[in-house]
Amino acid sequence: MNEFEQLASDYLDGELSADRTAELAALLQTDEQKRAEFFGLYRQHRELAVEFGGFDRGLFVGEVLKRLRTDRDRFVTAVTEQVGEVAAKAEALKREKIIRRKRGRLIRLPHAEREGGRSDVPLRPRRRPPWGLTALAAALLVAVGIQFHRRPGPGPARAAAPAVAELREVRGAVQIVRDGAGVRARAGDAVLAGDTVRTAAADSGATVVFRAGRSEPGEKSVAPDVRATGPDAVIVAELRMDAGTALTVYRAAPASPSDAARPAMPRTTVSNGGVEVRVVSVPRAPELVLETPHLDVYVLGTEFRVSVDAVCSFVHMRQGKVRVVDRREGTSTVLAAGESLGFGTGYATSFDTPESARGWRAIRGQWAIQDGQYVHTRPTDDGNYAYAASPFRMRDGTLEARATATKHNEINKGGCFGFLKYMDKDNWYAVRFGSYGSLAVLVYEGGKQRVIETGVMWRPEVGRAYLAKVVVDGDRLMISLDDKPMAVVQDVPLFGQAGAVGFYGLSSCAFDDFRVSANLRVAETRAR
Amino acid sequence: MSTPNQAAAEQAIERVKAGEIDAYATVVELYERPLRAMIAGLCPPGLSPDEIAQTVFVEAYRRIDEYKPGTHLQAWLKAIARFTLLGEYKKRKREAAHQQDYLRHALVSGLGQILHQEREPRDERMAALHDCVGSLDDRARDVLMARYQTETPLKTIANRLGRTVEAIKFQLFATRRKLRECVERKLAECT
Repeated sequence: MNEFEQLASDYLDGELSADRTAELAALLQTDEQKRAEFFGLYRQHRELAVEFGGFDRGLFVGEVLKRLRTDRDRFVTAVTEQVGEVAAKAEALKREKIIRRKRGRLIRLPHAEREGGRSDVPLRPRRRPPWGLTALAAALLVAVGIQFHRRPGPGPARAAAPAVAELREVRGAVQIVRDGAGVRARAGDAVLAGDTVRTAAADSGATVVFRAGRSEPGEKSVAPDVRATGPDAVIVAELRMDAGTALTVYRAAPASPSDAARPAMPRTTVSNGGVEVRVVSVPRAPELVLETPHLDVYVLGTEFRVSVDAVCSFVHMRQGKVRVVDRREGTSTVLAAGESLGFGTGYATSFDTPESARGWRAIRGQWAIQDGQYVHTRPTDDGNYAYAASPFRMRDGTLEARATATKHNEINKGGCFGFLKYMDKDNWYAVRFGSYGSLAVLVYEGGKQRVIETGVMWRPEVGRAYLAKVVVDGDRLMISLDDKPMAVVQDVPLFGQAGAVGFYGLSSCAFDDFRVSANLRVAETRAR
Repeated sequence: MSTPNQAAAEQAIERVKAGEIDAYATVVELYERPLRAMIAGLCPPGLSPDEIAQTVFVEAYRRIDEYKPGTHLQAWLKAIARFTLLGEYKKRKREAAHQQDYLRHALVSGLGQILHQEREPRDERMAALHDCVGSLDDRARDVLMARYQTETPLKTIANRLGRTVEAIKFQLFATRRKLRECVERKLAECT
């Protein structure tokens, strides 16, 4: 064994002295390849220990139940349950403790301080289903369609399946899986309908290319054809696959609703990972359509990125435009260069890397990642608000983050942080924690501003991180801090619309560990 | 989407929601294996994967009202596991920054990066590991199992097999390396 192998082996077996540990550290510090191998071996070592090591399931289950019982009080008062209880109490209090301000109605909670006098108004019965939160959706589907003809190529043979694309720029371990059998892919291989192209988990990639051209001299329409050659033949789409991505192309496809006369397109499923898409504008060429469980993307002549996982699909635009249709809601949004949109059942980011804020935009004020947090950095004494939106859009669901007011603001009489739901510049609202010493909802509806005061007085302690949480259930907002319910606000306008969620600040503030759970049913799998 | 396991788990969840705390044992029993497997390889150094797995189940219990019946329960639990691990990495990253232990710092950074990249840790990984262990020759597998299944000290293994400790170390390391390559290859193959 060489020096590295000896050190790594001893480390994994718990036999490395402190001095030798330092030697291993020094070796890894200077050798990236060895470092990667060591991480892999360490990971596998722990997997082997858990998978093959002794395990007493009864003890494990018993330990979990013991912890549940020990912490029962904490669990019982967990925020969701608390808010549920409080909501129930609020129903009981509807003839006693309801405040209406403008369109906003307030239910005051036992934990909150009170402010001012109020009039009592009966509470309307709930019109929407309970505000239960989202589970995570599975599988995703990106469909790209262009009709092609068969082109012979290497790889496992399947009779009668048409070639629909071609592989280019194969890097690392890439496979074409056909009828359950996989072979190593090479640049130039044809991709047949039904094939899956898979890139390995690390350091691999591939580009799938779609072509179009006049398949017959004098033919007017530009039809997709992987065999197309000559001056009319053009690449209409390139799909550059990240490592760890699986992409399957199908022959059948829905026609674009925007132009039924265009050729139908086969679909491509991407089960995980990311794909950079570049589409070239060709007159009368088939319109590219990408589908996911959450979004349909209609695109022609543009560059963008689609990333998908079990719970969410994102589109990040680089050039051109796409029209994105939210599959569940049916709403359509046009995305321009630089814009991003995500939709699904969940989104989380911890702001540890620049990529973790991909697609975020500072709509007003200055925002940046600093020390693993997303920070509103503008000077705080101007009394103006700032807000930033994530690419994730949500109608109903839960927003949660660790939020810190980092400075005291004289104008606003304290620190402040908040959550944002942003439909467009004239229509958005922010739940404010601590503005002018209270909890409130700032609403812009049709460009007109108003504030729904909750009547709850609360100021953040500057420098302290709070677990802030808002449950959006139609026109009802349930607000809690550190798992303690603070207020339920009803009749909040702009309900029933999907909006980008994000942060709000009236003074300097910082956010970490942002989680969103959107209330969305699992998308139905489309028949192929 | 709904599997027999999930149907049983969802019935248990209904009972849990009705206040029957012991019914949660069913959920733990049904999902401990995939959860522990996922956590094992991505757990920060110095932490027990089983402890993290317990924490995840406890957290899931706290959030049980957030689970929507009929949706992907395992994915929901794994998402909670991922959030929990990310939180642990964040804590440890801050701690490690103030420590002189480069190795731990590097492991925290490296594994944390893998966790960030693998937004959906793959179930196939453990299946591949089992396949690859199954494909080892008997001698290599026996040493590996002695090390991981029964946690037998290397010296004892060497004595039992009439070989030197160095020879056992060499073989074990070669087996680990071979396994790693095998798992990566299988992951690249599976769809």
